[in-house]
Amino acid sequence: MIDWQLIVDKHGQSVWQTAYRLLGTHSESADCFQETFICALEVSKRQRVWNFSALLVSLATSRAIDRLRQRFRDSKFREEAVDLVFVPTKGPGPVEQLQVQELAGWLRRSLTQLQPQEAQVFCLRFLNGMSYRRIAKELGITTGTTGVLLHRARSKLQDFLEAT
Amino acid sequence: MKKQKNKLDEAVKALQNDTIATGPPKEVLDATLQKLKGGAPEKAGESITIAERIKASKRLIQFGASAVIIIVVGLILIGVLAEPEVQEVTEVAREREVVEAEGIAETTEPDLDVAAERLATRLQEELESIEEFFAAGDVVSLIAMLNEGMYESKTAAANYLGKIGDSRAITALEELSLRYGDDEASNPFVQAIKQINARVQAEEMKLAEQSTDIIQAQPAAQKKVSAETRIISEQKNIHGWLMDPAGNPVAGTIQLGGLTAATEEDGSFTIAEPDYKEQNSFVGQALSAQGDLGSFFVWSRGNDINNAEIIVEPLASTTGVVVDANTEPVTDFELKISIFSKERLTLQSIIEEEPWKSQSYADGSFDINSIPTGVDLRLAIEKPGYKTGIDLDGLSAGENLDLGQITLEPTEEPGQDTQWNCSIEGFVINENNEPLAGAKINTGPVGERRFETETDAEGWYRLTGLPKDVEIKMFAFAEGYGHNPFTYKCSEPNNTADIQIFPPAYDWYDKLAPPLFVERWFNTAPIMLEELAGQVVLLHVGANLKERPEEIQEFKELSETYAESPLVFIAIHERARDITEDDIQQLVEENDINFPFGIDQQSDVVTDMLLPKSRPQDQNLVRPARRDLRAAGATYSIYEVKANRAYYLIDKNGLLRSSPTQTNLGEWIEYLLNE
Repeated sequence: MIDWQLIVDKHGQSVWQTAYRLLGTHSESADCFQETFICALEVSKRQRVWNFSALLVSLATSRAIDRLRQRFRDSKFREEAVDLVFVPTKGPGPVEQLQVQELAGWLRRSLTQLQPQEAQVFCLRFLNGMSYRRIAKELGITTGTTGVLLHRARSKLQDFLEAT
Repeated sequence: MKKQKNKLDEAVKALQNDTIATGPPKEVLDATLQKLKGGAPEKAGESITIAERIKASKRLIQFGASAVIIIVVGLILIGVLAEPEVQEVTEVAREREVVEAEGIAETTEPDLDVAAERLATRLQEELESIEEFFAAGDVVSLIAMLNEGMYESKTAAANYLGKIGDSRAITALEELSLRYGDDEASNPFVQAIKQINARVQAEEMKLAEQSTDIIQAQPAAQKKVSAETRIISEQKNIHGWLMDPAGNPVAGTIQLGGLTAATEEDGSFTIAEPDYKEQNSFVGQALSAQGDLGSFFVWSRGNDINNAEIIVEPLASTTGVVVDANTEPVTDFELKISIFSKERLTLQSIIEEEPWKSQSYADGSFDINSIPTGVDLRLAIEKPGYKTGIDLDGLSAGENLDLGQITLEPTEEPGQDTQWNCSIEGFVINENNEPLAGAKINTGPVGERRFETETDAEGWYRLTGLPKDVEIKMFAFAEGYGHNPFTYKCSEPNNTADIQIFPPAYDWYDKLAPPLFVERWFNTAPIMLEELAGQVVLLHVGANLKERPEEIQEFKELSETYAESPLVFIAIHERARDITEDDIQQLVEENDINFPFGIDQQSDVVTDMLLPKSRPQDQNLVRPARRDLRAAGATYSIYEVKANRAYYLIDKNGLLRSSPTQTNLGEWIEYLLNE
């Protein structure tokens, strides 16, 4: 039997941070958090899991990106929905804070315009600091493909930046 | 293009920092655990494709069952159950959180394709893992595989363990060799044991030979040398790959902890792990064989030594023109690049041979090529009597950074012809422009002298006999305001300068208190300030149980005094080199500390939260700068600790209201409790 208590204790924080970082709101992060673990439960019924940390982080990333896509598809959503309670964690003065938030918001939005797998690879590499090999293993692709996806994601984001 | 690239990095950084230091709130955790333990998720169907797949396969099974298939699956099941080790969970396995053979239990579903496919998938996964373990030299996982894997996996693991030759595998192999066969020649486990034994023996012989040589040469030194041999054999190697940003392998060299290693052609390398002693991390350097790619990297204790990935990027370069105060070009200067870190306690490196080449010209211009990036670098331009330092933080991989005109400043030391006839006087005032009586003003060493004075009842100070035209390091100290360093240069014999000092974290006053950056809580679940709304919080930052245990004792007594009040006490230990987290844990238990106690996080977490260092300056008003990042920790830095016993009061709405002194602490507490 898998000791879920242990797994949630051990990896809860990184899953939460992964979700929160991408979603920026408490309520959505909470949903994403639950989904991630439930999904991991399903995966673990199907196959043996050697590395829960990597599995959970990559599940959390893909679920969070899904949610982001949904959010930006819904045009009624505006950036203000980001939790204000946590705003002070972000920046120093009001102006800098706003800039940092704008940038973060821009990246969230832009991630939804990438192919899901590109966005996922980008997040795992640059936000979670996972290695090429680990990403490749988790997503069932080769390290070469990981490099290509990463490169593609970066150049697309670069283009979006130039366009704005 | 460069600007855009930096912007993207900034955006990534912004998102990275847009997170909270603590984990999920308790209610989310509880709800999740409940769902996990309850088994079937309520809303799994809508969001989980894998779950859908499982359901779909079950439906298929219901429709597609046939008697023939049942018989075949039955046969497979018998085969599987005959593998007796499947149900056994070893300790290693439990540690790796291995899922116990659930995939096999599901083969009771009468569908040949599904069952066979599962077995095949599982086997393939196991074999892939085994190759990874072998590549990583992970003997423990290979042994776990001997215990839990399918038969093919067991034999593959045994084969690899034989190649590695680690004697820890022998017990498990012996058990298997007994279980699986009478024929010694074809029993893979027996073969593996033989291989291991041969390897161990060979190594012993080699060691014995070495020590014999040494004995012959230097009989007296025998004991010492064998002790050293033992230590060397305990030291671990780092295995990894050198690759370019696209993930392609790169051949080259690696330097770390004073050692250099060349990679294989496929970019893989092995280098001894540095001897950490008191350090936690080292700066290493990687360069490609072609000399076009390179990087500095930080290797920290606890990094994965089996899968190190070092990414080398195009080398950078920088140019500039050096001029004196009259904008005349300067020549004959020296250029030095050093690795510079805000966490200066943790980084240190030995660059065997500098990869960069610098060239200076008669018009004062210079260029430096082939600079690896990856850590903060600093350029020093030196000439006897002059020195200027510049941060190269704008330097990114593959770019050329133009530093423009650089003015070489004279190094400020009083000399033979310095006149010691300068005086400064003025008020020391607080954030509300009120004079502070009893504030201390002193200087750092000026030549061989130091100066100090104290403000009178009106808050007036006067220092005389200071050197003219020399930059002097000075400090202003007042209770509740801590130590405030600043520099001053007299240009006239008589000067007036008021010094305005601010309490710690003044810029956060009446704003939501900055979050607590805590690496580990010793006696409580993680705490977020947001959860403490409705209560007043007294926060103690920068505690040190080893050096200043009396402070924590006082804090504890205070917490007992206010035991009945809705006042939450929290203390955060500073980061220090001479005390480990486990030491602190022990001290927390010994001292029976019952209020939440944690240790600070690395300060670079808050790099982007700090306000600009310098405060706006007024004429004749000196405002000491805000504090920069401090190695003592992230919370320490953001709360701008400037003296011991740094207390902060956070009100019921979560706003930071005060950093009280010992004198007005009681008053403040009462005031906030009654709000």
